[in-house]
Amino acid sequence: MVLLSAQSIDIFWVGPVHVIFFLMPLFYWVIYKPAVLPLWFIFLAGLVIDFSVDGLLGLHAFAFILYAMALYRLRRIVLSQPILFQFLVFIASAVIFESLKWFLICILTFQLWSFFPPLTAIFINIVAFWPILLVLKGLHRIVSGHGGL
Amino acid sequence: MGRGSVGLGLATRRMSISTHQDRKTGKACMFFLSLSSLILFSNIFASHSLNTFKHTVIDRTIEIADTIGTPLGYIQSQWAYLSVLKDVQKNNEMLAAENARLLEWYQTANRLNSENKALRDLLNMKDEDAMTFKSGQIIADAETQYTHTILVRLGLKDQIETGSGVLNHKGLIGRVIETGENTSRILLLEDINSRIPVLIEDSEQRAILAGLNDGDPVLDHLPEGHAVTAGQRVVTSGHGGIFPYGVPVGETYKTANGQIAVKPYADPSQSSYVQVVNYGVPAGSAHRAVASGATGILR
Repeated sequence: MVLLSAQSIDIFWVGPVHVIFFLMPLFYWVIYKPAVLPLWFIFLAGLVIDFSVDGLLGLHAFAFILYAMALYRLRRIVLSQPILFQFLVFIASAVIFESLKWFLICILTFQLWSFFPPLTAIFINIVAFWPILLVLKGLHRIVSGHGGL
Repeated sequence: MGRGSVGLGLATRRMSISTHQDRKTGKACMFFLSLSSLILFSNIFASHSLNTFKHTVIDRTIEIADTIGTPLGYIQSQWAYLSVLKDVQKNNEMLAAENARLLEWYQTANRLNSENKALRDLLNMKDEDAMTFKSGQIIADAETQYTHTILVRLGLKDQIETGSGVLNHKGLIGRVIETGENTSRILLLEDINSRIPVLIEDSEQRAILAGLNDGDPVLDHLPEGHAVTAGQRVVTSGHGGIFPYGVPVGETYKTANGQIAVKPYADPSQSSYVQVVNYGVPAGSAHRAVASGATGILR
């Protein structure tokens, strides 16, 4: 997922969109089994993406750590909620994550960028939630012997 | 009572372990957050050094990245194939018409070439064609919504210089902005930092082709009441000391807000190989022009 996040997808009508597919695994493991994704790995994953795509070095590392920090605080509340509520939390978190990235890029480059590509990335992440969830649930069963959600 | 106090004790113990764990995680979070923000905000003060460092790392690890990226590259090429497939019928008809037109032009070009050669010989003209080129594979498409660059497997060891023009078989793609030992980064025409001096062939009007990041590049610095219309051929003007006169760039069209944009002939997403061309322009002038064009923090 980290490697997949290091590529841009050329969407016919939008152009290159950088979708962070790693966001869903990050969300899942931080909520259900934080030990699977230690902080150093999250930081490193961010750096790998930063090196792979042309842009600001440290942007994804910073955004991932901030995202994980927020989820650590919320995990006890989210953990006890039904799946639909968790899905809504994921949507909100994806919106906040992409907005944060967009805001940081605007601030650091002194330019106002279009929010349409980040919106497309959020949409793709939301659509990819359920199939990725199935894969992660399967992985979770293998890792701990029982399902997550 | 006894059982209750044992339960309470266990809960307190669990809570204290959890609080201890939380504190440890919190400290680690703060450490990584500080480290990443330090890297991130140094983009403002040391963007050039960071970009050089980034390119050096990419240059050294390109073989590993290439191996890991092979399956992803396959998926991407299939995706690109799908995007071509939707226009296949239209493209076929267009190519057949273009082929017929080109065959006529081929005959004309042959005749003009021999005539040109004969006239040059007659005038004893100095041969100014000092162009050299190297072909290389596109190894990474580092394009995002904020930057438009590609990475090519040609570097200093192939005598690639910063500022050289990059073409494919259809026309200009961009120029080299960073060179490592084995790889070079190419700034595409669509990037917001890209500025190319161009000439609109029919009207002999000069302009600057400016990337917007969002869609096709537009013609900047056109005078009031210019005669540029849709469908005109745009070539490099030779000004700025990077490209010679006449490298094909694209075709003009009018955008919804009345701006004149250029649809580039070359689409880097449809190419696997590109040519990095050195036109033999003196290094000093080329480097000055590159420096004035690529000053963005994302570079």
